[in-house]
This record gives sequence, structure tokens and C-alpha cells, in this order.
Amino acid sequence: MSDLNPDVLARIFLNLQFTERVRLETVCQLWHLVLQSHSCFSDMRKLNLADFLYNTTADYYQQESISLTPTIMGVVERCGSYVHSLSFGNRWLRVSQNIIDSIAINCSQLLELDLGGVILNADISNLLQQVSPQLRVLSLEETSWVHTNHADRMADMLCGFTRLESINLRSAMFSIENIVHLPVTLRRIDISHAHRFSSDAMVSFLHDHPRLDSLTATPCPVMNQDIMDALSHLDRLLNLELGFIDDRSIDMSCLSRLTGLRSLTLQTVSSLNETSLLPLLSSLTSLSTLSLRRCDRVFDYSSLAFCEKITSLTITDTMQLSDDDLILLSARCSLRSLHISNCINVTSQGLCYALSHSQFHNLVITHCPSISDDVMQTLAQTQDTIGSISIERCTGITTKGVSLLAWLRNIRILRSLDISKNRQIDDTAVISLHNALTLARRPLPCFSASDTDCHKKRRQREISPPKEQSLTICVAQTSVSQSIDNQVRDLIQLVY
Amino acid sequence: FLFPIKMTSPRMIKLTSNDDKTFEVERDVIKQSVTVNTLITDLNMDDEDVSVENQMAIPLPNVDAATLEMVITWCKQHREDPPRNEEEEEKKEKRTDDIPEWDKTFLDVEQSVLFALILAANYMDIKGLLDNCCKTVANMIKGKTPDEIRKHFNIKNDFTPEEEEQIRKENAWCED
Repeated sequence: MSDLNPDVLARIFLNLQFTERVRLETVCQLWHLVLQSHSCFSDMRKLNLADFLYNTTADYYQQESISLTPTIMGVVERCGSYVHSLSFGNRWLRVSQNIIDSIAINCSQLLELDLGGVILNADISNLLQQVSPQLRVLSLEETSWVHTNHADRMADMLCGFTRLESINLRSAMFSIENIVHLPVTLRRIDISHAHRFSSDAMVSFLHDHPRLDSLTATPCPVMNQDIMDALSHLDRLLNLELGFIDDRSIDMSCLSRLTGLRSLTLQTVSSLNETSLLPLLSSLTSLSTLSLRRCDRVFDYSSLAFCEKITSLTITDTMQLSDDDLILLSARCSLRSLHISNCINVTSQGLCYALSHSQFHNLVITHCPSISDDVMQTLAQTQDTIGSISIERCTGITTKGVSLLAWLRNIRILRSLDISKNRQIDDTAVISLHNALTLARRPLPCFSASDTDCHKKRRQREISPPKEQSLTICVAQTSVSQSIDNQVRDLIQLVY
Repeated sequence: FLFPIKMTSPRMIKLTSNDDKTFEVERDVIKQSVTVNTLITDLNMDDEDVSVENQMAIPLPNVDAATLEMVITWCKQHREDPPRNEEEEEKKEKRTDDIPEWDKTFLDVEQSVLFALILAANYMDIKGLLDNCCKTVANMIKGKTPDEIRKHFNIKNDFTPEEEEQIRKENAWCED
């Protein structure tokens, strides 16, 4: 071993896990030296600090006294200079000033910084000042601050960026008025639920950032007709999410200018009615994802018939969506994902038609009392690619209907099934699915002798076969008994 | 009738080890060594129309005959390997359980031989061989305590007890 030079040693160490490498420092002086001074951690471009915390209970880490700080500092000191992307894993860790300072000292090459889902007991202005000239992505999603004066300093920090492409300010506790000064390189922004924001600032922000391709504001902190008009001039916009706009006088039809839009989500938007929905859907021909949740001023969804490219559709909480609307849409679009919730006038007829015209990956039909076992039967007969089904609170579906899913052609692909809040469903359904999975997972018949060579080769190529994942079934508030769990545990995970 | 087929034998390259043994190896096989390949190209050896006998041998002052023979065997085995894309390799998740079976058997040798091979692969810049050797050593290290590692590789613990304790204290966070 003493023959090996530091370069080669570093190369060997790079094959080990991070903490394994650190533990090697006590082997001998040479190894210690190599690990401390050579590029033994140069592979750590992306760093999620939550990966290094073994105790996973949330409240454990919210006490500041525990050993979070030495761990993070130990990690950051070693690999900080190589890290481009840093995150705390959205685990509500309580982050102290020491940690932030250590990141500021060591992580000089940061391009992406995710402080989302973190409790900050620190002033981050120093850190941001250092990285802001090069930073491309910053997330302060739901970030909570122990001291409001630390949060307030963020307001000014928004002026210092020059190359930022994406910023998430969801639930920002500080004034975001200065987003006007964000650089023109900005592509994506989330300003949902931000406080203290004037409509004038919003209008000038939209005017000054014509390259935006994604805007999320659910709930929208501020909205009026001027903002809506400014929005409609963002002709590079691909993704727009707006929510909780209760001013009925705003005319949304101007958004039909956004012909490049791929994804549109409107949630609890009272400005939207059938008169503005019609021009939107007939003009936005590139739209592939459409989500209209609880838009209670839309009394007619027949304009869905104009859509051509929609692959993912979500409509919730309306009595106005009818079978005919679904049928006209499915006749023109190949849906991959469908989410219908609390739509009392959608029945088995509309859904069966949709099922027989598209191959779904994901199907969520919840709280729709008018659909029955027919839908389950059509589902089992027509779908080959489905990975996730939810029929929560669809009380028209019985245990017989769910049992029919056993006939799904590729039941092994199915990862999750939610049948909760339905007393009509009992153990029989779970056992049928378990039987079907048992059959589906039986190994293929053996190869003949002449095939063995090719078989062997194949096995060499597949070094580690994909792990068999189990099917998760949510059975809360159903008639499925606790005792069945033992019987199906090998292939099905039940959530009560 | 038959067209006369011109038989061209594969171009050979001569390599000399530090103990003055000379090996002849196909040009196409040794191209996997970046060091040798660069030398051949820089010296325009590909253009010369000289027979192997008159050709200059490339000296490899850091590699002994036994090791060079192993390196050549490995290169022959891997001559059909697709070219490596270093950028792609960087992105891939590091794993040590993907050493091909042939290499596993080939590298199942005494430590001193393995280390000589690593140094040769490093010097001759043969990424595939170097990688698989390093993974083999990494697999020996995995799951062992520092004490077991010292025993396994016959490494002397040259820390004073105080120094060792100091490092252990600093790194206490990574002991689970």
C-alpha cells in the first residue's frame, strides 16, 4: 500500500461513501493527508445535507443543541469547494448561524441554493452576498425565520443577483417588492402567498422580465386587470399557475395571447367564467396540462372540446362538468393523466369513454358518487400502463369492482391504489389483487439448454436487477380488516 | 475468378519494460493506453512504413515486465470495449459492484501485483483498467474498521495516541 501515490489513493477513496472516506482518516498519516488535501471529495457536485442525518424524526432536529452542526460543518469543510448545488432536503432542519457561515466560507462555487423547508436561525445576507453574482437557482420555499429582522434583510438581497434563472419565494415572510430588480435572465418564479406586495410592483416586474417561462402565484398575492394584461404579454410563458383570485370583474380572456403555454393551472379563480374559458381553450393550442380546480363561476365546460394536445387534465369541485364534455375532449386528446374530483355529474358513461380512448399512467377519480363498478371493469379491460389509481370516496364502487382490477394486463406496474373512505370495499378486493400479483410475479418458464449462454450474458449485463417494488393500497375508512395485512404483506403494503 | 486479396498484417508496436524486456503488441490493442497512444501519434509512428524489426521500441521506465504482460493481456481482452465518455462517467452514480466477471478473476491477485498494476495503469493512462483496479481495492476497504484496514494492507499506524484521539473526536459525527 505504501507504493501507492496520493493521486491513486484519492482515486480509490472516490469509490467509497462520503462518511466511509472520513472514517479512513485515522488509518495513517498519509491517508489523513491525502483525504484532507487531495481532491477526494471532488465528486460531490450536488449536496443534500439531509442525507447525512441518520435520525429522521423531525422534532429531533428542531432542537438546536443536537449534533447537526458538527456533521454539516464536517461535510461542508471537506467538499464545499466542489459543490454546485446545495440543499437541506426540505426537512425542516433548524439551521444555525455557524452552519450558514461555514457554507459561506467553503462553498464558493454554488450555483443552486435550496433553503426551502428550513427553519433559519441565521442571517443569510452574508452568504447571499458572496454567491449572488453567480447563483442561478435560489429557493426560499416556505422558509421560516426565527428572527424577523433576519428575514427583513432578504428584501434588499433581492437586488444583488446578476444571473439568477429561478427563484422560489413561496410564503416569503419579507417584502418581495424588490423582485423588480431581479435580473432579466430570470425564467422561473414562485411568489405564491407572499406578503406585502403592491400591484404596481407586480406590473413593473412583469414588464421588466419578458423572458419568464414559468410563473406560479397560488395564492396570488395581488391581482387586478393591469396585472392580467401585463401577464398576457409574457409571450415566452410555458407554465402559469394562478390561484385564489376573487375579483369577478377581471377579464381573463386576454391570456389567450399566451399561445405557447404548455401548462395552465387555475385554482379558486372567480374571475374565470365560461365566457373567458372559451377563448382561452380555443387559442391555447399548445396546452398539454390543464388544471381547473374549484373555479365556481364556470357554468359550462363544453369548450374543453377545443383542446387537442392535452395529456393531463384536472377538474375539481364543480357540478357543471358533464359526461359529454369529457367525451368530446377524449375523442381529440390522448390523455395520460386524469384527475376528476367532486364532480357530481360525471358518471360511468363519460369515464368509460375516456378510458377506452387513452392509455393512462395516472387516474384520480375521487368523491364522485355517480360512478360505478363499470368504470373498474373498463379500466381493467383497456389500460396497459397504469401506475396509480385513486377512487377515494367513490361510494358507487363496490368490492366487486375493485376485485376486477386483478384483470389489469400489467398489474405489476401498478404502484399505488387509493380505495379509502368507502365502506363498500372489504378484504375480498385486497385478496383478489394479491392473487393477481402472485401470479404476475411468478418467474418465466426456464430457458432451454441452448439458451443458457445468452441467458448468462444477459444476466451479466443486468448487474443489479431492479428491485421489486410493492403495491401500496390505502384502505383508511373501508371495510378492509387489519388481520388481512399479514396475509398480503409480501406484495402489498396496506395503509390504514 | 478471384480477386487477389492483399493480406495486411495488423500494425505492431514494440514496448520495453524497465527490466529491458520487449513486447510486441497490436497498434489497435495498445491504443487504450492514452500515454502510449499519444507518443505514437506525436512521433508520427503511424505513417512510417518500417517493419517491426527496425522500429523503435517505446520505453516504459515505470513498468516491469510481469506487470506489462498483465497490462497487455487486459488490453487485449478489452479491445472491443466502447470508447469511454468521461463526462458521462462523471454523472453516473459511483458504484463498485459493476466490475465485469473477467476483470474480477483477472484482478484476484496478490496485493503487491494489484498495486503494481494500478501504478502501471495510472502511468500508462488506461482509464478502464485503473478504474476497475481502484474499485477492487475500494471493495477491500469497505466495511472494515481502521484497525482491520491496517492489518489487511499491512499499514503502520504512525499516529501518536493523542493525534489519533484528536482526529477521532473531530470526526465523531460520522460514526453511527
